Amino acid sequence: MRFMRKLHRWLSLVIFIQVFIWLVSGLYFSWLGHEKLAAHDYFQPVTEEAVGPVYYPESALIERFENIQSLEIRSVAGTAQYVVTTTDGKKHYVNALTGKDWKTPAPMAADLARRSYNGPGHIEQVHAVTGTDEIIGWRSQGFRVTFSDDIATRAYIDAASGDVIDHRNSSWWLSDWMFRLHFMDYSGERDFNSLLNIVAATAALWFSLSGLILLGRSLKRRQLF
Amino acid sequence: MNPRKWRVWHRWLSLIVGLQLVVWSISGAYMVYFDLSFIHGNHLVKELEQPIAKNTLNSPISWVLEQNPEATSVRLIQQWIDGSLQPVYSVESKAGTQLLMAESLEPIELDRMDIGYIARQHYTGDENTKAQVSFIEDKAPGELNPALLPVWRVDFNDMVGATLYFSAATGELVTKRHDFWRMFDFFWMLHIMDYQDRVDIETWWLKAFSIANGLFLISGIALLYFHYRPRKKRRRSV
Repeated sequence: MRFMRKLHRWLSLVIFIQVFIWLVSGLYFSWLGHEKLAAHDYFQPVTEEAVGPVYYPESALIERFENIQSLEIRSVAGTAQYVVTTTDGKKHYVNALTGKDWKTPAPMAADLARRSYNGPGHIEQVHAVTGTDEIIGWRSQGFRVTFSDDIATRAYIDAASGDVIDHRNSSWWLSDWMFRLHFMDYSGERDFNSLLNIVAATAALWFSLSGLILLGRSLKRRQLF
Repeated sequence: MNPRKWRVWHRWLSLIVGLQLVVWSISGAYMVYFDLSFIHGNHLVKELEQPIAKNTLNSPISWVLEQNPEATSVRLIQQWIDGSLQPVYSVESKAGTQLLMAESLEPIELDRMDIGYIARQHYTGDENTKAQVSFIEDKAPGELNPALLPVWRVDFNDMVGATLYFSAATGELVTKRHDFWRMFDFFWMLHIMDYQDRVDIETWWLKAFSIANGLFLISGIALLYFHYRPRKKRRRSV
C-alpha cells in the first residue's frame, strides 16, 4: 500500500495537468454540443434537386476515362454534373451540359453557400481561396463565402466539385484547440491513436486505478473522516 | 484548511465523483489503444476492383432521366445479380432508391440469395465462415443508424462477430460492425454518460461530473503541495 501511495503520487505529478486539460475540454464539448462544435450553428445540407437537362452523353465519359468504378449524374445548383469515380478512389467532375471539366463560378459558389445556410445573415463577401487552415485536409481551389451574422459564419465551397466543404465561425479556433488538447494531437488532424496519447492514457489509467485501490483501503479501514 | 482536512475532502470526493474519473480513464484508454480504422472494421471488407467494361450496351442515362424526371441522382454501378457482375443504374428520388438493369432498364429487387453472394464478395475473412442473412425493415438495432433502413443484415459466425449491412435497394455495403466496434460504442456511452442513446453530450450530469472532478483534482493538488513543500515549514506529519 505504501507502493500504491507512492505510485499514485508520482503519477499525479506527471499527469495532473493533462487530466485538468481533459476535464476542461470535455466540459467545453458538453457545453457546446455536437452542432456548435462542428460550427454547424447555421448549417443545413443542400437540398437535392431533380437532375434536369443533360446534353453530354455518359457514353463519351466511358470512352474518356479509364478504370471507372462508378458514374453518377446529379444536380449542382441547377446544373447537371457527372461524378466519375475511378478504381483508385479519385473523383472527376464534368459539366453535363458542356462536357468540360467542372468549374464552379463565383456566383454559383455564393448560391451554394446560401443553400447550405439557415441563419439570419446575408452574404457579405465571396473570396477565392486555395485551401484554408480552418479545414484540415482541404487544399483545393475554392471559395470562402462570408455571412453577416453574429458569429461570422463562413462557408467553404470547392471549385472542382461544387461541394459545400464545411462551415466555420468565430468559435471555431477555440473548438479546434479544445479538440487538439483533448486528443493530444496538436497537428489538428484529430488522430487520437498517437504514441503520446497512448502513453498519457496509460499513465492516467494507472493514476486512477491506484487511486481506486487506495480508496478501497480507506473504506475497509473506515478512514473516511 | 490543514492537510488533514484536504485529505478527508479528497477521499470523500473520490467516492462521490472520482469513480467516474476511473470510468473515463478506462473508456478513454480503450478508445486510444485501438486504431480507429480497425474499430471501423475497414479490414473486414474489400471493395470491388473490377472497372466498368467499356463495351457494355447500357441504355443511356438520358433515358433513365426521361423515365424518372424527379430523379435527383442516377448512378451507374456494378452489382452481383444472380451471382454475376452486372452494370446497373441506381436511381434516387424523394420517393426512395430503385435499382434498374443498365441494359433493359428493368427494375430489380435483390433477394436473400443475392445479398448472401454480395456479402461473400466483400468479406475478407475465411470464405467457409457460416453466415446468416436477415432483412430489417423498420426496427434498427442500436448499432445501426435508422436513416439507413431498410437494410439486409449479414452476420458472420467468426471470432469478432462481424456483421455487414447492405442497402435493401442497391445491395451496396452501408456499414460494418464487429465486437471491437461494439465494445468501443459501449465505452463511448460510459465516456459521455448518455446511457440511453449514446449521442447526447450535453447532459447536466456530464457537466456536473466534469466540474466536480475538477474540484477533486484541486484537492489532490493541494495534497501534493503539502507533501512537497519545504521541510522546515512542515510542523505536523501529514
